[in-house]
Amino acid sequence: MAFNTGAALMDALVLSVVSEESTYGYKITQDVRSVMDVSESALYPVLRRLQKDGCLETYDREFAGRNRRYYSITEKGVDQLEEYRAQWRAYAQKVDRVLFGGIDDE
Amino acid sequence: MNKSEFLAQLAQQLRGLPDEERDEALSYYSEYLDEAGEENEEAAIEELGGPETVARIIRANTAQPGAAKAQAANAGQTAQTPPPPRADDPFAAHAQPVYTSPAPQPEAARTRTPVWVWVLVGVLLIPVGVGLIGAVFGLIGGVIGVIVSLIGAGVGSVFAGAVLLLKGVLMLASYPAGALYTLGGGLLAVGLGLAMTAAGIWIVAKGVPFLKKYICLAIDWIKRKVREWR
Repeated sequence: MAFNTGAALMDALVLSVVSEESTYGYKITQDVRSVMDVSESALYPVLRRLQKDGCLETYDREFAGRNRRYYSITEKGVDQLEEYRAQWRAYAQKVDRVLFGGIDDE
Repeated sequence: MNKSEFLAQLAQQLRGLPDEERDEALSYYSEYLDEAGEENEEAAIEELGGPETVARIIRANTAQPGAAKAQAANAGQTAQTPPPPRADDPFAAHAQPVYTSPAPQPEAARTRTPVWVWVLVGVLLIPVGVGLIGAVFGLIGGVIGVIVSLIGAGVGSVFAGAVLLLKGVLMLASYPAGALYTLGGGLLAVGLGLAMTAAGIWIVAKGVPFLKKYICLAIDWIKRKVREWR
């Protein structure tokens, strides 16, 4: 993708993916990477930080004879996600106005 | 490289981090590679960028008071600067290859071309620029000339045709054959003249809004570039 997108967008995407359904690191990585061009190794620090900030929490489940760590969103994470959604909407509208509203409107 | 080699090297690279951080990271990546599946292990490790990249990114994100001492002990490790304050609009941040913090990198931190390079390039490009500007004006002048002459020739032709028609009518009684010839020529001239005038006006009518749009776009683009450079 030609557009640069900031780290905050990645936080927002991770929170959004996890808010849909508690899930594990590999799945989150694939979901975020389906819309954003980031390296696979960029996701772990984001998950770790969101967890430390209290936006995500983890629990372990056994799957196919091994452990799978699930991430789920906390109340704080939901608030944070709402904040990101509002900011993204405002930002996207501003970008749209400039990209599509300008010169052709005469 | 297989999973156990990757994890061993990653553990090696993460020495000096608090045990908790290291264990977390190792178990995360152990699970991650399990999810990728044994047959995709190597491809997944490649996608991750190898243990060095993974370790570097983890280290860059674990720069906090508790880890500072451990990091300092690790010779050759570059000092971590605290993340800059979050801007009002976090989405406006530029993407960073390593996600050190969700805040934008300060402008000054980006490598910028020194001013003197731009000045030098500017001076060297003056002859080319003068030529280009001349070419652009020449082209515009040429187009305007063609349009004006088209309309001028059209109007002139209409007048000439009208004169021929008048003459033809006057000749009709005395010299009918010549008169018909003159009338025909007159009609032809009027027709051609009208067509040329119409073509000229059509070009102006279509071309002016078109040009206006692109000139506006070009000015806009230049303004944006100037703003980016500042």
